[in-house]
Amino acid sequence: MKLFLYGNLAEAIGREVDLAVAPGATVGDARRALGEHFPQAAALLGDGVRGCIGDQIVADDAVVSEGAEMAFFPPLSGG
Amino acid sequence: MSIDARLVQAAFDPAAELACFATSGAGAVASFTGLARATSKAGSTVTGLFLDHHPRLTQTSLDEAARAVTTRFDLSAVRVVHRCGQIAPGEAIVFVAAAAAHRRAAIEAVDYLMDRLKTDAVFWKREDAVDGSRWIEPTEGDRADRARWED
Repeated sequence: MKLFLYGNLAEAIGREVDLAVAPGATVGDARRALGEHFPQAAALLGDGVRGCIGDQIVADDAVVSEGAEMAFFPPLSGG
Repeated sequence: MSIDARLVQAAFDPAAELACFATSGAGAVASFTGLARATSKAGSTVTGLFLDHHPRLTQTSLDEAARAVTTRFDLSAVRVVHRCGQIAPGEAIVFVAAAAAHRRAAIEAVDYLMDRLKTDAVFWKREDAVDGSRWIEPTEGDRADRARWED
């Protein structure tokens, strides 16, 4: 699955990574897997980080599919 | 109703944006310009800001904010211009303006827009200073400001 990262997560990991997820895996599972693959970023993957599938921000229990484009968003800061 | 929400990569001129906007014929125009600071909260010299953005959702978030303000206040026009990428100290980060028949709607619309952009616009902001870089997250004050507008 292609995973896109932004803000401090992109700085720590890169903009785009390939992450293997099991069938039926959730956004929360992907978050934990990402932290295990990139321990330098584990501390950045806290509760304030939100998952995004396609162009929708989703909850941690949303199921990700292999073909989906997924992203993790650190807390937003515009203006 | 004129709604103009733009994500821009290069420096822009807030005065020119306001000049274009002010020809709307409305009785009241209020605007706000946010500038990149030259000094960090800790007092060190800032060398620049970097605003990371999403290829689609950032523009969508600006569109949604601009549309929402027109449903909340009686406006004839609204404009939002937001930078992304590298921004030098002193350059404009964001410009918002609202035109209305009377002042209160225009002023409150600008206040609402900025509170909303602080917490809802899809950007990630890094401040680069001589003593290091830090990613900026919304403060409790920013969240409280945003919550003032919730029904």
